[in-house]
Amino acid sequence: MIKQEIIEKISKYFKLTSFEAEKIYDDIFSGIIKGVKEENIADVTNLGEFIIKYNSGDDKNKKTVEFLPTLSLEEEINQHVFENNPLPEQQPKEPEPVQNVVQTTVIPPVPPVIQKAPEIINEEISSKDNISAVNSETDKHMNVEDEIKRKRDEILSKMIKPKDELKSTENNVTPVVSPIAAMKDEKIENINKSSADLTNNADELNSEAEKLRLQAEELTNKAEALKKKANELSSTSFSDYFTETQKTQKSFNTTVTPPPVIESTVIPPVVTVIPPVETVIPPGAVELHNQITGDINKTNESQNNEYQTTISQGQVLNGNGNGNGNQYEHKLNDNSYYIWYKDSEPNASDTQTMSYEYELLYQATKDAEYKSKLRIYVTTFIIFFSIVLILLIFSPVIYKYFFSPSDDTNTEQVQNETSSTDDPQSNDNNQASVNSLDEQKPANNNSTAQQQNTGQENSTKPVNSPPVTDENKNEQPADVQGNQNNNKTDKSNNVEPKQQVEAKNQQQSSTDANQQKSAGSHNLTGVQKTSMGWVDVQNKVIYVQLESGKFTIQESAWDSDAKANKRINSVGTLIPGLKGNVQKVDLGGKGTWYRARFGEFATLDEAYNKAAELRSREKNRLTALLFSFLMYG
Amino acid sequence: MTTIDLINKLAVEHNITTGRAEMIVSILVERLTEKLKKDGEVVINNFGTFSIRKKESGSFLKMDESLLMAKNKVVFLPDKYFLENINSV
Repeated sequence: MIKQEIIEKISKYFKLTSFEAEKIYDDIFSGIIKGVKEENIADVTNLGEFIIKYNSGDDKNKKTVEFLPTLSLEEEINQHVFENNPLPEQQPKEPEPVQNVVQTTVIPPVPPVIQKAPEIINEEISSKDNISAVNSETDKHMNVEDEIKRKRDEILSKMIKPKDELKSTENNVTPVVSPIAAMKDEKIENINKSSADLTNNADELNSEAEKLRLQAEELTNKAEALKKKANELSSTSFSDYFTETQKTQKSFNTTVTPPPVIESTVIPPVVTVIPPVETVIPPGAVELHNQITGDINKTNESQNNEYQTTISQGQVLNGNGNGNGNQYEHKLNDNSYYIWYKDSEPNASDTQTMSYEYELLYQATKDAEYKSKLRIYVTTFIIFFSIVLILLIFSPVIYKYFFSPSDDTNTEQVQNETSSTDDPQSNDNNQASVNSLDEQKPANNNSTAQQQNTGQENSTKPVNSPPVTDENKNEQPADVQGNQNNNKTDKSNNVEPKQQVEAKNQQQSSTDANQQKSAGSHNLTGVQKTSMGWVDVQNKVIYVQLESGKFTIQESAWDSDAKANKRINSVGTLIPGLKGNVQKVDLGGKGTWYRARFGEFATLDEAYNKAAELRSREKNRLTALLFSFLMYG
Repeated sequence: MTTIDLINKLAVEHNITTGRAEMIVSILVERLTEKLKKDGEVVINNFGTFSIRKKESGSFLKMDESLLMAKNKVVFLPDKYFLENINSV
């Protein structure tokens, strides 16, 4: 039955089919069973807890379920029982002795029960007294069975008989006054007396209430009059007060000192107007405001004089001043006052009672907020600007070490090559740049000085210098055995006859003349002729003359073929059309090196221009990278 | 297991919102209580029987005048299916 009711209700309210509702209904109880089984307890709100209980005696069902109803359910049920009193079980199914009946009927304190009780009791007592009186005559000769039958009949007749008949019998039979009935009458009388006393007390209280009401009306009238006065005084301007004080001064003829008079006249309206404002501002917020504005001395004064006297601690703890928030305990040296503003919701009454101090506090907080924000912006801008400046200042270094490391390695390797040719013992020299070639001049000079002694030309002679016979040996690419060969040739030269030397000089002069033709007369700044070729210090390359007489740019030298090819590719992207090749050189103790060479140029000027173009494009790429880094950074 | 677990389970199994499931459970409990108050006994198939065990009223404080308090208690007798389910491994 209940299942159908609940299913109908669920399907009606939630627009579900009866099948779905039934499934939900079953699932609820199966869920409870599952919960009890798995967790040994299932707590259902407003109903109770189903807990597993272990039975030691029963082997089949070791576990049983105990239901602990909620208090609300028990109370509800008990209340329901009281309302429907008497309970069905408490109604006597069989006739009981008179004393028991009286006990059950007298006890309930509920008024309707008390009112009904006398009638019922009278009926029952009268009927049972009659029965007992009749029975007393006949009981002697009756068996127990007969007695039971008779009693049953009597009860049945009592149930069937209408109340009128019972009343008639009650009237016929002489009333038997029992002690219980007497007690009942006494109680009723007592109740009546107490009710009369209560009514008297109520009348007295009403009269007192009327008096108090009258007094309250008088007080309200007085308060209104005071308020009107206060408003009048507050509406008057300072000039009015000034004129009033002047008048008083004149009237008293300097007998009375004016300042106390002014205070006495001015202060009352202020006191009457401000109180709601004082309650609005918590003392912690005012202290903070004074700290922000710099009036530290004022905080102590205000603490001592104004706010501690006006605001009690209870007010501080119960509200935030607006009557909306809950907590507004403001500690010093923190921004809790700001939170107080945020928490407080806008209220029309607050705006009406907003004081000048409140406005000041609001402005102070706004200013503090603005200053803090401004400080953050300024610091971030300064940091950013300083980073940009640092980057700009160190851009050459950044370029050198991060964006074109190839040049460094290149030059370092070139330097190693030269050092291997010129001074084998200077391997520890790690200076990394083509400029280091200049620093190595003294070493070369030393070697050339020796060569000069043997009639040879200095290897670091400028390009424009006239060709010398032994120059070709120094111009050729450096080898490990270069120096040894030179020394050998020097020695051989010393041994050879002068004619041969002259012939050789003629041959050398002829080849130099050819080279001079191919190189052309140029005034290239920063280009010096060395044993390796023409070293361009400005563009950090070496111009090497090929066997065909053309010039090529030796841009770098690498320890692997792959690196050299990579460099050639990168240069190819910078200057499309510039072809490069790798030249493998075995330097003996120094290992094998791969020289990256670019293009073939008829003259040295062309090679120089191409190298300059290469370097300028690389610089442009670097600046573009720097700008992009700064822009996006 | 609590009511929240039961509600969540219902919501997941029947694809309804937790609010609806909560409403359904509350309706069930409400109806059950009303029926129990009215009839004094509620029988739920495959679950058990809720009934009110009535006790004599008595005073719970030693006073001159006895203060009546009904001590009726809600009793639950689990169904056979329930007991079998619990005792099964």
